[in-house]
Amino acid sequence: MRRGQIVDIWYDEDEALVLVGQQVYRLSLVGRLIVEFCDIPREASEVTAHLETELGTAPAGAVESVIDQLISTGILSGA
Amino acid sequence: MSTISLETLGARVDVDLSEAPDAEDEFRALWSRCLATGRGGIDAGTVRAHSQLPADDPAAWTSITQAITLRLLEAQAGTLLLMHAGALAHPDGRGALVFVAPSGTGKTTLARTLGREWGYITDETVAVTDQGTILPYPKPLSLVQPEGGKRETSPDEVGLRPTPETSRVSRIVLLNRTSGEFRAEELPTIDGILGITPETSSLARMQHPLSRVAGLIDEVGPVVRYHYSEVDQVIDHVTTRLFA
Repeated sequence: MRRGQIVDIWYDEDEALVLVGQQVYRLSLVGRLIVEFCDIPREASEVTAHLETELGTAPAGAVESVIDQLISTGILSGA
Repeated sequence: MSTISLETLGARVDVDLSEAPDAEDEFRALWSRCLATGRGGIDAGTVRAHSQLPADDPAAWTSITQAITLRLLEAQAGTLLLMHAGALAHPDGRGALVFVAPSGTGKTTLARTLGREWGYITDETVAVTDQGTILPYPKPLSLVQPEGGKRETSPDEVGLRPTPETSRVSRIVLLNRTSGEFRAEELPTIDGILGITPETSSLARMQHPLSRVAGLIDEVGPVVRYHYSEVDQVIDHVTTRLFA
């Protein structure tokens, strides 16, 4: 996966706003870390490992859920 | 060919009334504050009135206004921050109040009411430059009629104060009409951006649009969201608190 067609990103402490098309999305810290990390293509396992380094172990399925949401909004591209 | 040129929102648009020559006088009256005076501006092309504009067909006049607005928005897309908002200039030169809201939630009512004391900039589209200056768009107001429907009305006809040549944004508010108690809520910047951006045009065509909106908020102060049922509640808070 990698970043989708993001027009602009604005950071605010632990959160971020992302503009995709005309839609603005608000990212939590987890979403923000994933988007920042996916500045180049990454495997899901790399993303999970990166989040564990930054935040500790996540509940089962939590990371996949966030990734699915980011893909569904176009913030990430699953290709 | 009967063409009337408008210079407004930093652009020039020509309105072709050749198919409705009898409407020329009324058009000039409605758009009196936007008539071309040689200031220039970027070329927004020509809008054609394809049908007659009879006095008893308000919808035809509204559709001309909408066509003009869309043409101006397209001309300035990507250059200016374009908000679906009204704006009024404080009479003492302390800058402009920008009030952002979806259609039908009170922008025109606020413009019409407070605009008798504050300079009428626009009731529909606020265009802000990189420097925080508002380019005025003192278009006709679409006023609800007692018998139903809306009628385009000249700002002069309803006694609105003159439009200043330029104004700077002094404060931005979001209007939320509700049946509950009046509340003025000062928003963190991130929520201010989220409140404003759904009421913008062509955001994706700008350079760093989110930073631009954030920068404007940082410059003028936190966005205030008004939860209100009567426009006088907003006016009272604006005049006694925001612009005290």
